[in-house]
Amino acid sequence: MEELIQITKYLQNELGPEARRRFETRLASDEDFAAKVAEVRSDLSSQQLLDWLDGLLPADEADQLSKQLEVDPQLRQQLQQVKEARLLLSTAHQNRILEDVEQIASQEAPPPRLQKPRFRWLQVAAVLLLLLALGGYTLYLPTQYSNQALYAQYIEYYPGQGALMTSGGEQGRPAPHQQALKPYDQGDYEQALSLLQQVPASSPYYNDIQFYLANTHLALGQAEAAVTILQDLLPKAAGLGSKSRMRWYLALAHLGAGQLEEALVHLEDLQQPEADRFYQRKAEELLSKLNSSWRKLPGIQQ
Amino acid sequence: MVKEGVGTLAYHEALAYIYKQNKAAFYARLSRSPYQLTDDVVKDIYHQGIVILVQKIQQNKIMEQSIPAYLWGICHHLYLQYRDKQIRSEINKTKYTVEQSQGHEEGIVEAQLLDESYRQLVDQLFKSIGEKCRTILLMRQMHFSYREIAQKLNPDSPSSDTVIRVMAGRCVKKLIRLVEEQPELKKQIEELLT
Repeated sequence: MEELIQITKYLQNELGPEARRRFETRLASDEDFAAKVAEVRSDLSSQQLLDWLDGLLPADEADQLSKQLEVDPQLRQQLQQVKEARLLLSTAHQNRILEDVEQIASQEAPPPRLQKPRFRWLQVAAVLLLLLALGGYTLYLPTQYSNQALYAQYIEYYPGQGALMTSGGEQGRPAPHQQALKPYDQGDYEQALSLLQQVPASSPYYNDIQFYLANTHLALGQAEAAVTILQDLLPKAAGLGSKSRMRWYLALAHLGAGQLEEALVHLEDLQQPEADRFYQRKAEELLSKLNSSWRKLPGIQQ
Repeated sequence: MVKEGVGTLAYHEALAYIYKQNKAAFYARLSRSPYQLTDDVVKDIYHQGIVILVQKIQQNKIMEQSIPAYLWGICHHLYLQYRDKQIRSEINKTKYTVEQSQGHEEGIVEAQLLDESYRQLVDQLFKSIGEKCRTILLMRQMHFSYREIAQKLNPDSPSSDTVIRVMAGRCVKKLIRLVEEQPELKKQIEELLT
């Protein structure tokens, strides 16, 4: 242990001049000792890389390491191995928490599933009939079948936490996209709008941020601004899920902006077999409501 | 409490509180259309969501955020991942090839619904590095400082921060060597990282 302490002091430049001279003399003449020093240096380097990935390294050390990584291919290779170990550690950590969660779950009765009330359609039909009979359809139906009502039923602002978990702020400082999504998650859309607009186009998350910007405009009731952004993003979307998601939000933005024909075009596109199933199902549901015969009654659509 | 008292009564009480407080609402939300999930999948998503939430709290990564909103964000993300996996497996069955879903979800390695077999492999491997290494690495995972780790390992005569740092690095290298010896596990880890 004493030797390890000496070696770490040497590597951290904490030895006095005399002790350092003696250390270096031994280092030059004793091969076994030199191997030990190299081993400790490599141990420290592994842990430094892990701390860097976790954002636990002091800023000056982190900057130095970033520069070193740019020029040292061996260090980059070591970084890849440390990344693998880090993933494994994260899983081991999660396993431990999962054991506790499962223990809590085992002490509980199974949760009730959300049951659809039986004969619900009968109740709805009865209410509708009553309202119609009273001539109240002008009060009720617009709240269910108008463009705005359907938009409000289907719009769900996309959660931002996924992006917050991505990398980018690894060196102890949150990246601009992470900072911008914080107020978004908290529902402070005015603040989110201002921060999201500041994320530079050079950010690797720029397209994702634009998507959140569109969501923020929707949350602020600025559907036309959202349409413009989403129209720009749609051709850039790569992959089945991403493209369908973009199209779905664009359809909703058109609906929110009162552009029914444009919304219908995108919803029908989502009916194609290559569309993502999740959005396909939602689009089918919304289309059936948009084509409902209730909407043919006067004064309902707007 | 969730961070500092791991293994203590306070930690278990805090965990049980978070778990029970959100459970009914989340089960109801995940059970409804358009999710249409089986009871087992709802349970897996909720449990994994809680695990990631607790991990983030322990790593001081959640600040001034509503816990239910953050938890819902994680569960929704896990659901999207589960759905993508289902779609891919159906597409593979019919021998079509499509691009994988891409988007802002990429690169998130912590928030994944992991296979039971993978979890068990990791557990076995983690057990084989010895108790001291397990303690050091788990405490560091929870972002405890080297001084706190030194205090925990030897309260009467704690080692210096740098010595603990070297010991931690040695444990990481031990893990790396063990992974290299298990090509199947290494392959799974590489796939999760890409």
